[in-house]
Amino acid sequence: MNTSRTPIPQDLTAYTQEELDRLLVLHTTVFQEESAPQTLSPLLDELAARAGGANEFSPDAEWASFQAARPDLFSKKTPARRRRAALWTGAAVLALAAAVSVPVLFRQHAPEEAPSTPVFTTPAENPWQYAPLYAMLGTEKLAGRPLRAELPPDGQFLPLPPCPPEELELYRLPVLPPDPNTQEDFLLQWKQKHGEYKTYVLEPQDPSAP
Amino acid sequence: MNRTETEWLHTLYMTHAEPLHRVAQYRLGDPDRARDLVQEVFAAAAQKVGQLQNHENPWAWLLRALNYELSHEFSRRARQAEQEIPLIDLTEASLSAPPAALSLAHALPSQLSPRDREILLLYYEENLSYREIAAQLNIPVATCGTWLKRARERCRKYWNESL
Repeated sequence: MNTSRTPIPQDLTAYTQEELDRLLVLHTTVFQEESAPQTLSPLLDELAARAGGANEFSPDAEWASFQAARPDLFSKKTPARRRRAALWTGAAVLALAAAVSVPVLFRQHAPEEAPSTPVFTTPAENPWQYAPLYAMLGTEKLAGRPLRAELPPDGQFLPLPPCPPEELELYRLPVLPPDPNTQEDFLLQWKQKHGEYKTYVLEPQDPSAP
Repeated sequence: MNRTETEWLHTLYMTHAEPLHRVAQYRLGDPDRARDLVQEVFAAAAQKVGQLQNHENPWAWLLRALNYELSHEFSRRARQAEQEIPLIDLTEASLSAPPAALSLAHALPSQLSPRDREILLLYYEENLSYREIAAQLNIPVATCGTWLKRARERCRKYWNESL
């Protein structure tokens, strides 16, 4: 007897119901690797004939029902559409990367340009270059409101040009000598010499006043 | 699934779903529930269609998946029978478990050793993997494969002798 396979006997009519049941169970479990629908068909036919029940399974209708019940398993995206989508996605990623990186690269290697703002060398040309920053913190330049500034009492002042009263304060800021010390050193020395600053509140001058 | 995979699965369904349904119907005794289990089996096949296309015997794969679904169905019915048996009709109670002749424990040849019987039941009825069986029997995974192969050969030998 060939023991490498366990074929289903051709004539099943002589077998008892229990033997057929055992045959079915074994050929759908332990011997499933060597079985096929065609070899199992006679056994299923014999069992159905003895049971007397009709098999009402329609593969076409069941397949349609299966597709309708599980739309998640049947994607409508074809491989060509997937390739196109992947292509567009890759192009978008590349464009984004280029948009981000190109300005940075050009900025790093761009030749140094002349400053767009003029460089003033004397306090008369640009008093703000030599004015201490903290002296500007208290200023308010709003039309119709009092202007305030913390000014060193002995600071140097530029001659007052004719201007509206709300801009008057700009020209009253002290101009400090740029050398030999830095502004911070100069102010530190001034503070050690004279003590804390005093606050002056300047009222806008009335042009009609004598 | 792409179109090629869908067509392949459709062909598999046309050739294998009907005998699979007959097996499920005969073992369950319930055509409608058998239809549901076949759909579950093919849903699993659709999710692993790439693996199934390379399988040497897709029918065996489908049968194993069906046995997995059947074992869950029998367990569910057993639990339901325990909870509801005083309330339901006797005809429904008779459906709660498979007929004794249709269980693998009954179908296995009586000459098999307890160890062969145990490992065949764990693999084919409980649907445990090699790793799970090895952990349960406290043996290496490779040994589990060897034991299972020998048990299958002895089962075939005893069954052929009995025919």
